Amino acid sequence: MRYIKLLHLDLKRTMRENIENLLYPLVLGALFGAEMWRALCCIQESGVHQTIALGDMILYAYGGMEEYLPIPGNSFEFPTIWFLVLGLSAFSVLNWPVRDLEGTGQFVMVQTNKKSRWWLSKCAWNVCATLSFHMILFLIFCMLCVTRGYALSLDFHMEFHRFLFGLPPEYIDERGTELSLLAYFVPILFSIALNMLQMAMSLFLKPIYSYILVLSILLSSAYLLRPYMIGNYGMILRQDWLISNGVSIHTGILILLAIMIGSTLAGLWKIYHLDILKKE
Amino acid sequence: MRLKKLVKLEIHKAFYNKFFIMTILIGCAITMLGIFNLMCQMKENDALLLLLLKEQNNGVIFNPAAGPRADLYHSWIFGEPFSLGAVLYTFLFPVLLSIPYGWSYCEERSTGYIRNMVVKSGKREFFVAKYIATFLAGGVGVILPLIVNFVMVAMMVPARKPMVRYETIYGVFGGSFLSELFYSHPLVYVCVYLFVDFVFAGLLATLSIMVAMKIRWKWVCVLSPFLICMLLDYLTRFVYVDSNVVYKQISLMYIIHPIMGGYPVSWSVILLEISILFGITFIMGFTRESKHEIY
Repeated sequence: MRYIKLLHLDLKRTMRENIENLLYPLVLGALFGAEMWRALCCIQESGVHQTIALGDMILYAYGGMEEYLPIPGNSFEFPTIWFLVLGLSAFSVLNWPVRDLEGTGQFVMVQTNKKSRWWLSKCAWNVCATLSFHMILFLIFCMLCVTRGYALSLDFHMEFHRFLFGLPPEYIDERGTELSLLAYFVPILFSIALNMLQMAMSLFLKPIYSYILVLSILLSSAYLLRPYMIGNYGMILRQDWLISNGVSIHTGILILLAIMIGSTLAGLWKIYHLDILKKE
Repeated sequence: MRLKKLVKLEIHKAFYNKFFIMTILIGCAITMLGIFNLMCQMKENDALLLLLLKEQNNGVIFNPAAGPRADLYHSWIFGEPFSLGAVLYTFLFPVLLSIPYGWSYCEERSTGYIRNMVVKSGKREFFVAKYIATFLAGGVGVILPLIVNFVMVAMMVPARKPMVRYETIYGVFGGSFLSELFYSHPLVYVCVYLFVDFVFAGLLATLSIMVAMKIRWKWVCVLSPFLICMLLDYLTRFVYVDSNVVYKQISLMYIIHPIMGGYPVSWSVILLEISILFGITFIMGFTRESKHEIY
């Protein structure tokens, strides 16, 4: 069986059996739209003329949180929105590979004579599923912009985000008001790398433990602004083009690519040594 | 099979499985981060104190333990909201609570074990036994690491009675939940809060039984309490709309930690949420299970 055929089979089966995964970005998009609309109404009621654009919606979903300083009177606030986007994206791809390994995947491996093909098709499936999650979210944002009359541009309005997240006025350097495409691309790349890491870890541990690992990475990164905490690359509000002590986007891309390649190789090694018939 | 015997069997299964032990180990590992943070802080404080005492006494060092140092009630993991350990444990709490036994109902349904048990004991009895075991395993699984942390911190720092004038350090203010109790009987306060957390953890763990009635995938069931808590936390953004109003804390993510989160916790909200959770998990589950055809 050819590799591309395997990927096609995976995509077809997940579309049929895991169709509810497409609901997560739909629900999230609707909730985010509702909250932004409410916030906009609040601002406009106070007499301030405020508009928002597509860039604001992206910053809202992928912004994350400002740097956390553990000082008295400043307890940690959970970045729920960012967590929902990345946590649900990881959750949506958590179950399928292991489930397939315990079921149909075994027959596929026997028929293809190669375990590596099965694993590589799962890696490609993971990338496709993660991309489709973020693509759906993006399309919903576009639809909201069209229906509510917001600008379809990557402009963002920092005053609006200060109102939503309570960001201190001095926090953001004035680096323009347009979101760069690269800044939007890095959180999605981070999401792909995280999901690949989770999938590879699922082969070594049980899926629940690999998900706990993913959540711990996200939480630790929200807590600490350091280049080695990879979750910081997934937060637009912590990137160096926006704040002076932020993490470098270019370093981030290299690290995330390395994680993707490393996860693929680790999974490949594990699947070669895994006795699939004894797998629970 | 009598209900008592069935409950005993389920509790045995819930407490003697590798997932329960793994939960305790993960929980203890996370709470250790809090202790590590405390040790670093104590080392820093000691150095500062020695410097101060040297300056004050012309180089003569007195007993360094005599000065203001860390104390138990704001050093244990749920007494401070700043360390990485406290942050991780608070937000992973809804994940950890259903690992010990939240998966069992789902697995026993898919393997067919449930049918054998129902034939021997009856649907209602089986559900009650499973509910009690899941509740206890969930509660104990997340409370035990907290108790271990409390005891370990108690071995390192003294349990000084908190003083109201340092309320900004403790984070328990006049309007905070059980603040009088905290400043008069801090140990009782800790016990009451641990009991509240135990009840919440148990009830949230039983949510996985409800989810398992609809969904077949056990890890999805195990993670469902976390996802529900996260979604509810997001929905609070639609409730806390006025920054000038002091609302009551309704997010389960924050209620479980005595001093984390912006708004104060209240008994009315706690009791209301417990009633809702109990209503959803036990009453609805019991009714559904009684009428549901398992074959």
